[in-house]
Amino acid sequence: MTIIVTIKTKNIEKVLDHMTTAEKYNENKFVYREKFKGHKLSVDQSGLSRALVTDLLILVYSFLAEYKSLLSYAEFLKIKYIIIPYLERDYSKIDSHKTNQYLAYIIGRLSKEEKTK
Amino acid sequence: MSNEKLTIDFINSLLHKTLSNKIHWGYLDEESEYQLAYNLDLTELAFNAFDIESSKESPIFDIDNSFYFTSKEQNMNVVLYTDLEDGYLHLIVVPFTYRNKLTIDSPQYISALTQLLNAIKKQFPNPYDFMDEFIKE
Repeated sequence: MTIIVTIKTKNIEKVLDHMTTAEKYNENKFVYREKFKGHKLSVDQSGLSRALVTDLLILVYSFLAEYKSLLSYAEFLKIKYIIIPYLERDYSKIDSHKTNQYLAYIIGRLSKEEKTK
Repeated sequence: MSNEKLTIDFINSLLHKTLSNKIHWGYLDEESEYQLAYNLDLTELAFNAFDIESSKESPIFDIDNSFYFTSKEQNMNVVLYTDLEDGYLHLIVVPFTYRNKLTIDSPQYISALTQLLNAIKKQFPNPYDFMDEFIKE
């Protein structure tokens, strides 16, 4: 009996946690999206710079840290194992066009509204 | 012209003049522009628990991502600062008198202000870029 109650409580906690994160995401996604858009426009307009790549990495890391639990498995893998390693590679091997494609992917993800109920 | 259109045009003009080096920004750090940051309430008193006389004003903005420039002809300062706590960007147009200052920080301007911040940071040399160039010479 105790084990069943413990498992049920854990499940409820998990659902509540997800709902809280989803609400926070819905409130903040516009700000994140606009920041990523601003960076993408900068790359379009004047190309990459080391400072810009570092700022992008910080933004991607903070997005992942805050909303990892909301991402699908495919989204998580793409950001964690493709986009971040790409931005972490040697600066001379980072290409503006490819970077903008990855930014477009994240901007697209940030258009999605999360269910909170 | 509506205020919104005027604001967007102003940010775009700042962006283009920054990219073409027609205006030169400086770091809004507490040493060089203490008075400007202080008058804009961008500092707070940090108390020293052991010695009240050592208490000093500390910036509430990210010193690596906050800048200003001065237009002496128009008696105006323009400040772009990043809030230390939430990372929000705020653009403030400040007359030398510190009266009637205008703050631009609505969410709709985040993208344009991020672009402006990137353009400003390009005005400052990066040691790795210097090393790259130096090796190529």
